[in-house]
Amino acid sequence: MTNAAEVWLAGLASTMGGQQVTAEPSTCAALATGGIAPHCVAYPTTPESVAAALRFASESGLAVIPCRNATKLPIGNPPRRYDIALSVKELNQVWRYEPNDLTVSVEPGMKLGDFQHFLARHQLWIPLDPPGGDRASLGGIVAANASGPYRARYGAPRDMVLGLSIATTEGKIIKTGGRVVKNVAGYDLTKLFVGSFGTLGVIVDINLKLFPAPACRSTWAFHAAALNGTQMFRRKLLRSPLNPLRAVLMDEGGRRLAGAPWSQGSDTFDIWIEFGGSERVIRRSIAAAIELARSVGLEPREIADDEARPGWQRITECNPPPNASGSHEVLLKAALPIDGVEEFLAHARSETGRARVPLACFAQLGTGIVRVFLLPEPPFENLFTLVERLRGAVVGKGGSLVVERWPIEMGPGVDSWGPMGDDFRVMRELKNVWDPHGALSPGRYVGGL
Amino acid sequence: MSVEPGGILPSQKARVVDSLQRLLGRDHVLYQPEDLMLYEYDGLSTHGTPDAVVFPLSTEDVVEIVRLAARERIPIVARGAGTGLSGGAVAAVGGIVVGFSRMNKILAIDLENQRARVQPGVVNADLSLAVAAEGYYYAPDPSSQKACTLGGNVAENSGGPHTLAYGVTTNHVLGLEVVLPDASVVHTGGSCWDRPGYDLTGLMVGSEGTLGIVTEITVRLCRKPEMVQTLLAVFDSVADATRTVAAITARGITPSALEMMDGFTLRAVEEATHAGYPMDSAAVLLIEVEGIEEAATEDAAQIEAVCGENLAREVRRARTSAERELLWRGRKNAFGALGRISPSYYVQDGVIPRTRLPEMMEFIASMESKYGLRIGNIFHAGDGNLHPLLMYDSRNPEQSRRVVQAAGEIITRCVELGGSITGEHGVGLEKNELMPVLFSENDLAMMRTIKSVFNPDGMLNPGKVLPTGKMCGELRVSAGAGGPGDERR
Amino acid sequence: MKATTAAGGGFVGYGPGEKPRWEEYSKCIHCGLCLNACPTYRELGLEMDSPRGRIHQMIQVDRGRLAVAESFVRHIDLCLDCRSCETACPSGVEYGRLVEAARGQIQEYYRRPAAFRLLQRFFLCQILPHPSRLEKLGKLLRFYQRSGAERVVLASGLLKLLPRHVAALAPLAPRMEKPFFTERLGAVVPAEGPRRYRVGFLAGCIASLAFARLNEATVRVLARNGCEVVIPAGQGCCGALQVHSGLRERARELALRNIRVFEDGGFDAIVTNAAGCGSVLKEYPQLFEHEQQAHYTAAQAFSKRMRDVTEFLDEIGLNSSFGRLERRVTYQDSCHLLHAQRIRSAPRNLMAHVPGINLIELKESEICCGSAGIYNVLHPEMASRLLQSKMKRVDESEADWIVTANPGCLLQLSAGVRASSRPERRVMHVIELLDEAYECNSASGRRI
Repeated sequence: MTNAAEVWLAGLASTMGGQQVTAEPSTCAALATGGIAPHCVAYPTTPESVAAALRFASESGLAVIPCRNATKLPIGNPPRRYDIALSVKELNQVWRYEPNDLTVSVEPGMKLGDFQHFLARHQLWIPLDPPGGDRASLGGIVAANASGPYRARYGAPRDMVLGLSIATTEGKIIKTGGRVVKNVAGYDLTKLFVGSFGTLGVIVDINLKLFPAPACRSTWAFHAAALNGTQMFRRKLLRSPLNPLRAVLMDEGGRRLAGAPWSQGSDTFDIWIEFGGSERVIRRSIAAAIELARSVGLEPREIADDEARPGWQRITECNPPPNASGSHEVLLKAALPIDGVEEFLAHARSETGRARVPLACFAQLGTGIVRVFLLPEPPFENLFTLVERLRGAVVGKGGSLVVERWPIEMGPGVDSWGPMGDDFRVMRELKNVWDPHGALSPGRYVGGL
Repeated sequence: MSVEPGGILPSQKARVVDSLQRLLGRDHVLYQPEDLMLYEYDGLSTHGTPDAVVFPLSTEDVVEIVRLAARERIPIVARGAGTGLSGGAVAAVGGIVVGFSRMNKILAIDLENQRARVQPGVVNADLSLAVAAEGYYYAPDPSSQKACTLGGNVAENSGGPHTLAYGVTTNHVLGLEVVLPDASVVHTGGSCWDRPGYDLTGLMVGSEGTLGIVTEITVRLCRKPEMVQTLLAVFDSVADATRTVAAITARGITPSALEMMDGFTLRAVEEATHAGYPMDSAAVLLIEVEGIEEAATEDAAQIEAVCGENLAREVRRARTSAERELLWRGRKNAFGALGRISPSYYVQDGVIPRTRLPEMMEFIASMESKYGLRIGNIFHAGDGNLHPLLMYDSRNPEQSRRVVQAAGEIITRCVELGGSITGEHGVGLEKNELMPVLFSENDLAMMRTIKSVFNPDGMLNPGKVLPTGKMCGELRVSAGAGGPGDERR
Repeated sequence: MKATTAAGGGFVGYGPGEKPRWEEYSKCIHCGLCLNACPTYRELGLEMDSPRGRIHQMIQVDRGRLAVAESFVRHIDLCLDCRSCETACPSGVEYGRLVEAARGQIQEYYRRPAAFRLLQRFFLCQILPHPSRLEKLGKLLRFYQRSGAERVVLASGLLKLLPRHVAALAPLAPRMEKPFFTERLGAVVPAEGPRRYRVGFLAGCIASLAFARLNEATVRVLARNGCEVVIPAGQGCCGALQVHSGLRERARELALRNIRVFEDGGFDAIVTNAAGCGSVLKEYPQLFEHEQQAHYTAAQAFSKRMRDVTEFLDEIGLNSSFGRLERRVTYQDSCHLLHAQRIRSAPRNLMAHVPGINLIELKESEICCGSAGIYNVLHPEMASRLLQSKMKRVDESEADWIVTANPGCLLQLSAGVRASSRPERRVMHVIELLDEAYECNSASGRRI
């Protein structure tokens, strides 16, 4: 460690009021991203010390990446600089919990799994199934606006966050939105922070809207021999009054990841649908879905609860596949028009087939969001082109493709975010206003912000 | 940082009008006093006369108007149908009003992708009507939906009774085309979810025309539910009704709408609409649940039970769509019904956590006696969005003053209870001086900074949203449809 | 009145007499819910040509900020008085009353071009109120239409030489029918079967000439429903056009004449088949609010018995011995039935009784077709824009027949159909549809 680093480390520690700052190499290495590890990890215990740390960093020309369980660290380009990993691990309290108002304030370090457990006491939940699953922290989920297949019915963090407290690089704590479910006072800065990947400020408190948990659940799989069958089924489903909790279309690669051993056929597809509600509602929904499925030649099959739960976890968590060597997989998130998922799947399958790269796809029905795993073997030379071609196809449909994981061993990756539009200059100005010295995750976000 | 603009100088006017006429044609530029006085008001009241009103037909027209205004340093105010309730569409300090009544085309409807692309002048209800036959609708349903425009909805982030389950405008807007004050055009969001980058769409929605002028909107369309159940629960005390509201959500039911009307209001409504509301009750809840048949009927049965447990005298269920329409007609015409019995009223818009409804209703009642006023209550109880209607005679200045004070106390109380100063009507120039009650100086400084990024010279809709610092913590109530400051009365 | 600096020039404030009053206009909370219901706002998108804007202008005149001058008159004139805004208004603003009062002021205190005044006086004051003069003019017109002269004129392009308003009249001019219904004045038509009701029939002035067959059908249908139909002599023009034009004194004279004629007939109801007339007939009391109490009371008694024929038939329970009419039909609400009289379901209910009729709801059926009394003559451009929008909706409905409930609407829609791609479409009154359905049930096709 250089002398200069030792000086600022001491300064940071004193700024944060004796709270824990560690430069322990293995701790730092665990929070590396893009092949770069921070010089230290700070664990502020109050929002104020987050703000103090940010101000210190900003004034000292240091770069901070906020984090917790590192589930989002793989998303984004390698940082230009990376001095401090700011872990919100110690900020994990729930407070102002009002079950009858269906609102709560929670700190960003709270893990999703713990939070759901907490809410379950009152038959409440937060309907999010983002990558990272239970391990993901609420701060990270909100900062990434991360969501999974529940989104079609319930929306994304964007739709559930009522207000935020943000520590800024000026060392201030500002409040956005409020604690009530309806509020149009002033600019909706909440929206600006949700999904900003920690590049504008650090979330220190989150006001959330809560939801009553469904009384019962039931998952069914619908097997199709080809994509035109799943397309007809999806269209009918989306036009029907049915409102499942979530629905995902997967190819055989996805099926393998989900651990669904019964289906066969390498060019076949499955749609998993989870229904929720009272038993009567579920019974009727299943009957209607089966009828729809049969009318277009899909085979229904019930998934037992003990299979469904881990299956959905594997589908939504997007963890590295157990059998593949963990470091050799690329995770892409394509956002397409709702009606464009089958065409994209077909395209992706033919592109990857030509490049001889195995893949696994999970396409959400009703949102147009597809997560694609590429499972290449070394050497990885044509991978760059492959991802660019897939991106080209998505962007051509008005969508976007984000590289959510690109192992560093595979060499410099494709830009994580893809091309920017004519509103990028506004984004850059906003970034300059909030983070004039580039203290927050420099270079990681869109367009090199 | 920002210059406070002040309309057109007399020396400029002829030149500006001439340029605008050459740009848009003579028929689409208003500049005579007898025409301009028709653009002094919106749904709130009368506030400021524009120097010109123009009606563009395309984004290109808007760009040219903005370019001209920037060159001449003239403020610009965008206007839809002028049904807003916080003064958002009036030219507070003069300038050019850009009316969107000609940009009223539905540009594309894409049902397979559940999207529509529209110009900002499209009337909210017309979009739903256009897709109704296919079983779709546009979810946010402000009470003015038959007249208000989607551009105005975007600017104000409008709500409505059914936003309890489906969210407000911001939850249904996917992308925008925006003309910025420097006459550049930017496209935020898109037709797909999750475009990488900051959520500028979310920031624009509800910015009340102070960050940019929206010229195109991409929205989500929703499927109509299989079944709707509408219930009317009748209570002998306001407290029982308000307790029931929280009890329903505590039961794990999310109604699509949950509206409350107090006895005073419902008697007025009943006399005007003959919706069949019981004249002798203290409060009613109008509750709607929907979904597939099984879900709607189960929820309705549960709600009946909850209402019973909370001492509802009676719960009626609409049996036909005509009965349902009748129950809603009473609700939707409530403001007007009160207008029949009071020469003027001032409608407020505040939010509290729904569990605080019982104490808030008591507080409002105490305001009645403290200020010697009649206050009607009709509001979106499910999300704690209050609309107290303070009744008075605008010809009585003393009474008008008391109305403003009482309204101010009510709004302040909302904030003390953990709520907000506005749930759906917006800040505009009615409540910008109240913003410090809700936000700290740091919060407001950040909002100012945001504004300076988009609108550095303050030329877009000046005098709205952020406090001007000229008044201190007061409602600028020239308010209320025909409110105390309504010049016309 | 004093000289002024009010916007628009001219005089400040209202003159003596009826005028828009605070008690009425202060009910307007300028919420704007009327905007999209207003045909002229929908076409022009201008606040001045919206109900809210027109009320605002009336208020500004009252406050001395705006003059009763060219601008004010133009926007008040352009109003169709269709009263669609009253249906949309949550506050119960009586817009029709306000605009009619404003027009009274304009008529009284604003000097229109001489030619306009001349034509207006001639038609509204010298012709319409006088049945005999009207009949003579009708015969003249009938001769013109039947002799072939009309075809010659239309083909010759001679019309182009006429002023715009007069030229616009040509395609709209009602076909004079033979025989005129005026021949039936004084008649009493017995009920078919036992007499259930005794009704007075108000035949209408122009309708008696140009809609004689509709009037005959109305009498037949009423008789088939157990009504003894009396067509009192001495009745005349209802005064609607005069009210809409602000000629309130003339309207009062006409009203009194009708009130007297029907006063002592012992009628269960007084019936009209013209929604435009009906709304004014029902509002006769408004004309006498500031007049002698006795006149006001008589007007009230009259209006209480006044019924639109569809309303009346729906009330008494329709004799539904109809034959089958296999037709795709759409219904255009007549503004003065729907908005002024608030009658929406009655005509639909009646048609629903006829077997084989497939009633397709017309989109925007509540929006005016542009007829609005003599509006289509005075404002041909706006009227034809509205008619074009209307015909587009009719095309969408793919209906064989367009049904409505007012002679003015029949004329306007017929003009629309003639100019459309499907000129064979029929335009008919609800009553004509019922009459035909009765006819095709009776083997003999008897006539009364």
